[in-house]
Amino acid sequence: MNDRRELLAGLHLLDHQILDCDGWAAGKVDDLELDVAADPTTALPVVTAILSGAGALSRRLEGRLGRWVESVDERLASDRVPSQIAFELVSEIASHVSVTASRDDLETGRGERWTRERIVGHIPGAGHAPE
Amino acid sequence: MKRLVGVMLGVLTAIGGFMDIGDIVANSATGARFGMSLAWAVLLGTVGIVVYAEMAGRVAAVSGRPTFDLVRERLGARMAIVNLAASFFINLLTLTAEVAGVAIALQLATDVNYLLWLPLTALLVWLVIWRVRFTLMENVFGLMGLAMIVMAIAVWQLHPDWSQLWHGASHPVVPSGEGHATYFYYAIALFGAAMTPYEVFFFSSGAVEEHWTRSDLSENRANVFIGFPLGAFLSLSLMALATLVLFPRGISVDHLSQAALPVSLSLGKIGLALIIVGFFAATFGAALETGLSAGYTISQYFGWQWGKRNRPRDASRFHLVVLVSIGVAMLVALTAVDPVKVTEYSIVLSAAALPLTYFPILVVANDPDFMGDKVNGRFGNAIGSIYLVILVVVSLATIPLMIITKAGA
Repeated sequence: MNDRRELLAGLHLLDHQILDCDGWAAGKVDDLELDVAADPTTALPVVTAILSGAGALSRRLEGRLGRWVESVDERLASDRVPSQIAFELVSEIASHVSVTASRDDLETGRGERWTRERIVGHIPGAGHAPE
Repeated sequence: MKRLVGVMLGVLTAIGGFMDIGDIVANSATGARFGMSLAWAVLLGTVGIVVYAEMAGRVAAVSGRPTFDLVRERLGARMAIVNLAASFFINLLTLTAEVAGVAIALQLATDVNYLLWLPLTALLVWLVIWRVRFTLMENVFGLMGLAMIVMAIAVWQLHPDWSQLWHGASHPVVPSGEGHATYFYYAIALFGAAMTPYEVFFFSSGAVEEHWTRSDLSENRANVFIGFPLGAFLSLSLMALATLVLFPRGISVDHLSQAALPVSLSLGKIGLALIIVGFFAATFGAALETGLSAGYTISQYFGWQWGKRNRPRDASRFHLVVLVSIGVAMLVALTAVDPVKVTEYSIVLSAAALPLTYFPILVVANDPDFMGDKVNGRFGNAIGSIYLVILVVVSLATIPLMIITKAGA
């Protein structure tokens, strides 16, 4: 998102649904990455990335449950934890957050891709909508 | 005209869809032990589900967003995951009870032990979710469930003393030999059976699956305000049958066959055949709803793509959750746990968890950001708030009553 807007991140972003460029659900805004020193003129932190997925969520859950979710996610993940969506990709912030990329190209889409490629895609009929 | 047919179909589907294994067991068991003296609990629960299902349907139609999506956004990640864990566990318990219920209905029809029917039942439930279009699925099992109207005919055919039945329902007293704690424990079971949370998870997600918009609000109201009370009428018929046939003979309901017994006594073989078809449709339909709800709740919390309207590969995590849940439910049922006990626990624990589901719905139905001019009216809010108080009281009383009464023993 190029235009700078001041938002109450907790209210307008956190826990909102992410939709990709084709309208598919692509996770929730589980956490945000902030750059505190990015804008010296206003002294406001700037959101640089959306963090989404179990890794990001676990840090907000705290306690034993959070640690457990985090350890599971670290074991399953092949790349960086938690998964990120660069904030430049965000095209709209409404009751949901839209991004300009396809969910298949996002780092946060690996869980869905893994399930599709390893399990669900192999079941007969997976490629046909119900009749 | 086409619209009217659609509305009619929706109402008929809602009648059949209202009943599930919980309603069957709770109404039959309480009729056998307490006569009609707990009919008020069914009415209380029915008004509650009508008020809140209407709200959930309206929220889904106007905002395009189902219940659990909003639970996360309103309660925040931490509170909502506690809610999710409780809701998912209770839903899984209900799914287990429904799957076992289908297998028992098949046992009643064939005399083949229900344990042998369980794998086939689970496979069929999954196949319907995997392959059959949402609307077709809903209509077929809803309409088949109308076979349960045979219960009302059976009451009438028994030529009961109507004034005595009415007096039993309108002047509730605890029957001699039963304690107050047990009486209220069963009241909670009936209340929980009528207001089971999966009904709103399914109802609101179904509205999104069927692409409801503001123009479908009248259909929403017709389904809820006409269909659900008529479904409750079937529940009360079953309670009346148990009151007339089982109560005087001291027969308790330990098995689904005892719930069907009064119908066969009243109407013979044809009655028995119809009630088995009705039980099958009610439990199978509810197994589909709870199976889907398992996927709905988890996917909506985590923001995954969900829904039957897509190709399964496009909502793969949703379908994986549904598949695994049905598998787990089948395995639990295969351990030969008593299906009636599983049902009783599922409805009583549902009662304990009711505020978790219904509080967020009330909040969102009042939020103009989501609802625009379709926020709750003053009357709706008054009833909604009164019910919220009832839900909290029920929720607090459930576990102590469960311990005091040794789960209604």
